[in-house]
Amino acid sequence: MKPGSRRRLMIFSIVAAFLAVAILVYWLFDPSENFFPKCPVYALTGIQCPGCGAQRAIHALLHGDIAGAWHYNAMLLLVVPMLVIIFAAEFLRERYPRYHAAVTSMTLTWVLLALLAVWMVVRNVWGNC
Amino acid sequence: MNYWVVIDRRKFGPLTLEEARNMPLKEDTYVWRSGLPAWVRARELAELADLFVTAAPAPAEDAETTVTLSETASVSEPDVVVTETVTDTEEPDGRKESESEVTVTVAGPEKPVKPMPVPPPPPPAPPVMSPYMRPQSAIPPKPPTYLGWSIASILLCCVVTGVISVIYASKVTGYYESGRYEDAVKASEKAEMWLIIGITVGIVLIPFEMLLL
Repeated sequence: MKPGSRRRLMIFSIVAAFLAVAILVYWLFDPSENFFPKCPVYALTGIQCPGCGAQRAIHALLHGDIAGAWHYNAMLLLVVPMLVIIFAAEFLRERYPRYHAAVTSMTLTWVLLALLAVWMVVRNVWGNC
Repeated sequence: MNYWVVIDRRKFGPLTLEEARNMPLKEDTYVWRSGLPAWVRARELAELADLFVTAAPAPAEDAETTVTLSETASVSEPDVVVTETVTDTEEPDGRKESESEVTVTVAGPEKPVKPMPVPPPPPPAPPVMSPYMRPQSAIPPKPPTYLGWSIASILLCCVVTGVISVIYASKVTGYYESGRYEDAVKASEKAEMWLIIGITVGIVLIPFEMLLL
């Protein structure tokens, strides 16, 4: 086994274990009720960053409540499929370099960043969640 | 007549027509035979085209008769072989020297009594490089951009460091596409570094964030 693949396997198993625990926790408990970390930016300034509501949205999503997830953080719902595509490209980077290059293109990167920025402005100006 | 075929980027030949027909040919396999100016696809060669047609009752045309005749050529009846030679002469690309070759080789494909008197000219380089196969040695693979991690970290914990990571991710792409591969690797490492900083700070802050109202 090459050292690079061993490192990748390690990262992969850590992430998988972390994800499994996180999914279990967010499935069992409702973040809007108890002990979950609150966003310090929101607590201090009252500004909602792009990720505000993500915990509640994940909880809703894990219970099949698409409308609830949309209500708490619509962008999360939109970005999750995008993330699946990007992560697949990153993991298959060496085998499918063209796919990876297409997904991580300059345009797409900036479009994503701009989307998140616009989302942040929109939800603070017009949003109510 | 001698045939060369290219299978899996390897050149096989010289082959007799029958040997060539027994190769695992596909429709788009490159084939060359003496007398042709360049490599052609197997389906474009009349004596091989019938391999790819399941049921083709040939219409009575000159070009098509070659197909039918070459089918019977594997049985190697001498009468038919003569006719084939005639047909070859009628073809515009048939040349004088290849005509004589036809008579010699095709007359006895299964009897290797007469070796080829004149070695055929070396076939030109086969055009097998498809645009999908770019030279791997020249261009190093693109380093990871960590774009997925960066976007996820913006949404899940750490907006500031996540944005920095995304900017470095775009730098990886920019450097890589302009050929500055070392800078791309450095930008990739920076993106990873900011991700780790963000995640670490995020995890450290969790207990304090829990106390917030």
